[in-house]
Amino acid sequence: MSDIHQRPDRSTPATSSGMETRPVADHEDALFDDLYSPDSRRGSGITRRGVLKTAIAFTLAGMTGGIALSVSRCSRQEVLQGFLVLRPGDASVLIAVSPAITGDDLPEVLSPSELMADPDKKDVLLWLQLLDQKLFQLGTDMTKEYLQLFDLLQWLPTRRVLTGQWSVWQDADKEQVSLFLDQWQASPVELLNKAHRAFTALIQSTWYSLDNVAISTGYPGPPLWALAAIAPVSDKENQ
Amino acid sequence: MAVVDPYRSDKSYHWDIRNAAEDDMPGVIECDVVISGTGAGGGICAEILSQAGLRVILLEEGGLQTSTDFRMKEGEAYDNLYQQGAARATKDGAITILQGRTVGGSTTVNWTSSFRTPEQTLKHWQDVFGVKHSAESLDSSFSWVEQRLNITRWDVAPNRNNQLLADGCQNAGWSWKSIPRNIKGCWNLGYCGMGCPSNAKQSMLVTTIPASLEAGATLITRARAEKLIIKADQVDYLAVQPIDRYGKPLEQSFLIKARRYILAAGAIGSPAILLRSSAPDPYNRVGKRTFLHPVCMSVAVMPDKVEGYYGAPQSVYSDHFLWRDGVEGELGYKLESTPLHPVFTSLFALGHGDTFKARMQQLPRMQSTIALMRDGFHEQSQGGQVLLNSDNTPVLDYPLNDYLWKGIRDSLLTMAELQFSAGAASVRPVHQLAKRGGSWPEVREVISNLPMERFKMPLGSAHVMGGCAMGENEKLSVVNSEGQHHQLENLSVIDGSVFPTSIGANPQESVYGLAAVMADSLCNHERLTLYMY
Repeated sequence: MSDIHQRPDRSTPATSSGMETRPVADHEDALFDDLYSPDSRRGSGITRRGVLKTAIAFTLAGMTGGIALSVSRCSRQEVLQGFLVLRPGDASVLIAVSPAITGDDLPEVLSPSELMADPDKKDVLLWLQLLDQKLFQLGTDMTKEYLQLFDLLQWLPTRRVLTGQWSVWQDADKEQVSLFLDQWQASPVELLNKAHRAFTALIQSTWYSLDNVAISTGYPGPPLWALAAIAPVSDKENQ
Repeated sequence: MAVVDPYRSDKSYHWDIRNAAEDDMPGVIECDVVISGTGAGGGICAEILSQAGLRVILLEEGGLQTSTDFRMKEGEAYDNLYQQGAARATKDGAITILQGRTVGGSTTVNWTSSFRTPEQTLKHWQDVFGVKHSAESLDSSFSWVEQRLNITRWDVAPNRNNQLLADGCQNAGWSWKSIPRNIKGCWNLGYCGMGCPSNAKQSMLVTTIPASLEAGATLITRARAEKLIIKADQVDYLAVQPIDRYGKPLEQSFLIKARRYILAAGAIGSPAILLRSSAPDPYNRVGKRTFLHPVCMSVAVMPDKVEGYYGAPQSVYSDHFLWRDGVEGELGYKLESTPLHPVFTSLFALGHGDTFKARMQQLPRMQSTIALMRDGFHEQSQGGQVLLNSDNTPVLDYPLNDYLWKGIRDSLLTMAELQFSAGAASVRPVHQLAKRGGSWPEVREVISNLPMERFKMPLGSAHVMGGCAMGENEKLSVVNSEGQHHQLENLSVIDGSVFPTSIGANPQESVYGLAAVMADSLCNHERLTLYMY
């Protein structure tokens, strides 16, 4: 796994898809060098120092250039059609990480737009919609925290430090994702423990809201006799 | 066995029910009493006051969902019936909070456990906070509530999840009892938390609210009590904000002009209304000392099927450790179980990937035990504080400290011992770093070494209490023992927010009993003023 933390040649573009089109404030280069702690370069995974630097850098970014960043984020990434808060990049992250979080593989999904078009993948679409509604209902401040987490996972420098993921999320593999989740879960950095809890609880609880997934546990569903007893009387019978 | 939905019955045709998100609302509505909230406090008040002949308006920020809508589907229920889609949490995200947001409030979605306020709690309130109520003075009120809501001992055999709790206590030599429940003709389904589909649960939704509507009360749903408009020592108006099904504000707000304003929006909602209104608070008490009964959990896997998804979710409890070091000593805890449906279970399976999935696969053989911490009785247990978010919605900041962590670690030990006594094949304390162990000494060792830290140790709560404490000492309280606000003459707070500490038991009956006393006294007062007009 050590290769995931290898620093690629900065002259080659690390991005190849629309994922990385989000513009970055002028100070990105300086920020990048600062974030990029030598500890993490050795491939030992996420380091406390690296994360603390990220946190500090982001606090600073919030006070200075971060405003530009968030403004540009709004203009560049619009909410997915038919959704309330999720943007294409968020959906890509969720699709990429969910098998490592739920333990269930998803059907091959390449992009959110493909998902919308393919009825075979309707469970994945339904799951994303449930998750979207859940996020929306959390309330302004909590929704914003989640979106910030999604941003950190998409913006290249923070993504590298927080997850060790160099390539775009579509290319992530399950082992890589599991590795960073393990590190988040057991990390001495509280912020990562929080991110792990928030991320896994959101994805797991909405995943198990799907009937097919719920019954995969051995839960048979509500008793049939009770469902029959409460079945609504149709209008016809009513008259 | 056909289920009669009172809101679709013939008699409901003349009930005055409006949906603020969809119906045209007049700019100002006048009434005798406006009650903000339709849960345990608001429901009881509405019945008593409307049957006394007062013109009552009931406001509810959730929607009107009734037995016809309750389909025993978890995802649907959590999204539609709970605050913030059942994902409400404390400010730092460390404690998940389950609270109802629907007509009937949390009484529509609770697990029916009904206990009178423990005598120790009432005595502590008298001694420390100067509260006038006692077990004797509340006796007739509790008796009335028990009759009204059919609160009786549950004589049906507990489901296996609860039976194992009883077995574990029995074998360990600890006391346990059956839980009284507010039910009539219960089908023993196990879906109380998703709204009772058979209307057996005697929640406010099917008891006091229909009775109030029958007596001429008006129910306005999707209506958030936003702000009291205060003039001198009186509330002049209540500004009401229509909201959509996601809780987002809609454009047109309206006013209610009443002679008496009652806040019954729960221990997060009621303090929030006072904060948004900048209500007088000379001793800085509003929203302070808010308690949660923080809950931690232990999951056992049994050698055979438990099927904790079926049957009354809570029917056995143990108070063996509740007062373990006296009322004001080490943190005591009540032991109960929970229902075990897939979504709910996914929240405490923990881990990710294959670990998580393997745990979910054990669902049919799972036994869950929870410990509810009795917070608020010790100087190291000051509870949390209700604050306002940037959009003026409330959030609870609840700091965690070593006193609490010690109680939690002790309870994890108790629960593991209990589960092995009941014959568990393995036990897993619900903690991010805990793996299951196959014997009591093994798990004891695991628990002794677990770091007690936020997020690593996930906590939950379904009981929010306090924040507008009652008492006769103005320096320590927001309202007096009758729920009357100390500074504003025509304002009362009647819900779980008036508790000066946590209860030490599931709080619904405590809210009912106190609300009945407070509403009775208000009724006499209001009728008197009405006749003087």
